[in-house]
Amino acid sequence: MDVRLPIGILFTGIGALLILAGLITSAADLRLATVGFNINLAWGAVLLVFGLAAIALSRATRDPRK
Amino acid sequence: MHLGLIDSLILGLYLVVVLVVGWLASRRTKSGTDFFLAGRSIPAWVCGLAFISANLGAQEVIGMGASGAKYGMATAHFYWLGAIPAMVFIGVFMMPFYYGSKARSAPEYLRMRFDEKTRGLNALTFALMTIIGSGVSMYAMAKLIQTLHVLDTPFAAMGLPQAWIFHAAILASALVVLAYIYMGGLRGAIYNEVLQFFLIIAGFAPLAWLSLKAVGGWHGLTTTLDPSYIHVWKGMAHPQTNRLGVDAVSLIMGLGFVLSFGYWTTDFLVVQRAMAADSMSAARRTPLIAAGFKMLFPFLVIVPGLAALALTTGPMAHGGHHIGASGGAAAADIIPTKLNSSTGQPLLDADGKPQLDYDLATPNLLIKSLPTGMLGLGLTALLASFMSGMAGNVTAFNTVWTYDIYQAYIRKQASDAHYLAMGRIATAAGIFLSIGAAYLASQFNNIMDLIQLICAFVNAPVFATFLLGMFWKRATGHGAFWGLMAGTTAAALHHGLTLSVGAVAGIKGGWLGLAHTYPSEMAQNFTTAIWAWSVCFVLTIAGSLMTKAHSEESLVGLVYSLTPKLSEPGVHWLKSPVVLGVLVLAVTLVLNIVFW
Repeated sequence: MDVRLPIGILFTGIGALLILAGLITSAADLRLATVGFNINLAWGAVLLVFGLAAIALSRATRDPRK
Repeated sequence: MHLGLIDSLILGLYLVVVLVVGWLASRRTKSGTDFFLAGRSIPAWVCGLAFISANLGAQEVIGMGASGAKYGMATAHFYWLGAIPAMVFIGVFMMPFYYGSKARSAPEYLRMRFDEKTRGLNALTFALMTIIGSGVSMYAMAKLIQTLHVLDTPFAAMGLPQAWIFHAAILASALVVLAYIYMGGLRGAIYNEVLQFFLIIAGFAPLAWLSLKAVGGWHGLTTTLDPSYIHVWKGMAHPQTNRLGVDAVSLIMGLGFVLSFGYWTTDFLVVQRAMAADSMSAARRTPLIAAGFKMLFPFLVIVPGLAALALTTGPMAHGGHHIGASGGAAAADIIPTKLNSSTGQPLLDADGKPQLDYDLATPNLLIKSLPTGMLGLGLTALLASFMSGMAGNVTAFNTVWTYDIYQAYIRKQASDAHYLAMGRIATAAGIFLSIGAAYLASQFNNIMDLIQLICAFVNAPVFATFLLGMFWKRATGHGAFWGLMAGTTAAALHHGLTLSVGAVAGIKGGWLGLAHTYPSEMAQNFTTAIWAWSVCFVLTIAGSLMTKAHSEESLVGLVYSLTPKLSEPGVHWLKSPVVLGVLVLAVTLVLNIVFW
């Protein structure tokens, strides 16, 4: 079992949910004034990329014995 | 504060993935070795990250933020003076004996090296410590969920009484951890710990960055806070000139040597992660990989505490001058005033100023600075840290119970399937005992002090036992057993005869009389540990010299001087434990100097 697959799935999911939150949340609730930018969107994108990379890595180095 | 739908979805997704990982691991859990040692088949990087997560429980995430706010950057000594050198030491010097001896647990190593009674003593005290540890972790989490009011709205919507939030939080987290360890054993725990590691980083890194940004960066911190909060070594020459209230000698001996080495090199909770590695080389690299990440943790867990303090007491707290690009609107009560639980009045310190409830520094920062979405991620990270800490305790408990107590004293000859079944029963029993410990914890104000105390009583003396066992072939079983007993007694005596300034006799010490008063609780604690270790060390040597030596043949593979040097052909030099160890120590030294 390759732990990178569940990690990848979890972070892809969280990333997508954060991006969604960044798109549908009102500016006041996003605390744009204090944070300065849409942190849900930015961090969601980072986690999405991390998640997809983990999935790709687990697929690319799949154990040939299985 | 309430959770939005997306926050709940993030939390739900995490719970589903954690359970699926447990289920996937269960398909490869067919024997006792699979369940208790993960079949000794886990790659080094996985073990290394699990090594960090397993002790990243309540105490660390909440406690280090609280200490950061209370003591300042000097809290980093727990990492840069304590944990990191100890982790390098176990990887380079001790792992060959833990892994090479094929012992299934740390107490079992003591049986192979010394004798049955030394193992029995260590197994019993350790089992007790894990139960209290996971109970306190569970209590802290339930208490936090209650205090932060994140579940108030859903509970009200379902028509449930608010008082049930505490019980529901305890029960729900216990059942999830039970499910994945029951199914997947140590493998399930380790895989989930890796997942939890990444989640904790993903949740806390933005928090650390945002909080630092809110106070105007590192420069903002240094200009807002008193310089005594900013330095790790400056003022350490005398207890009166630093916030920890300790001097450099007791800091280095007590924290740097005895307590940190005691915890990181003998506590089976951490050692078990390396024992699951797929090769000797991987086992030795496990603590070193962990140390490489661990040395950066002060920025993740201590700096937010400092920022919370700056936001609470600094000029930006009162809506006046803004430092940096963004002020901390609504930041005034990030660290609230501590209230007397019976009267509801603020507690005052000796100068008549209200005391701050530092334990809420990090959680409040989370709630007050993150928008919905990120908040769900942050809370999930908090939950992940509690679960990984608890799972670490539970997997260590079920192994020590099954191999070192049940198999050693209750049922010696049984099938592997029998012990596997016992391991699953012990998992459930351990979790139910932890729930009991959690409710017990809610009866005490000072449960965290109790934990610290148990560490000084259990880990500090046993470090002398392991050290002599591994590096002095003349050490004997009788010497080790009586040295360990005497060391623990010395800890009790020192604790019973001393107090810290302002403390009342009882769980904080002084229950036998008062021989000395320390400037701080930390100084008292460090000295207790130094006494426990020194007495165990000296008396183990004395006792060993008075008793018959073990035969040299029986000690091969268990003692440094009688074990052939490891040769690891085919391992790239960059993966050599010595090279990695030197590298980690060098970077740690630089961090000590930069934050001097």
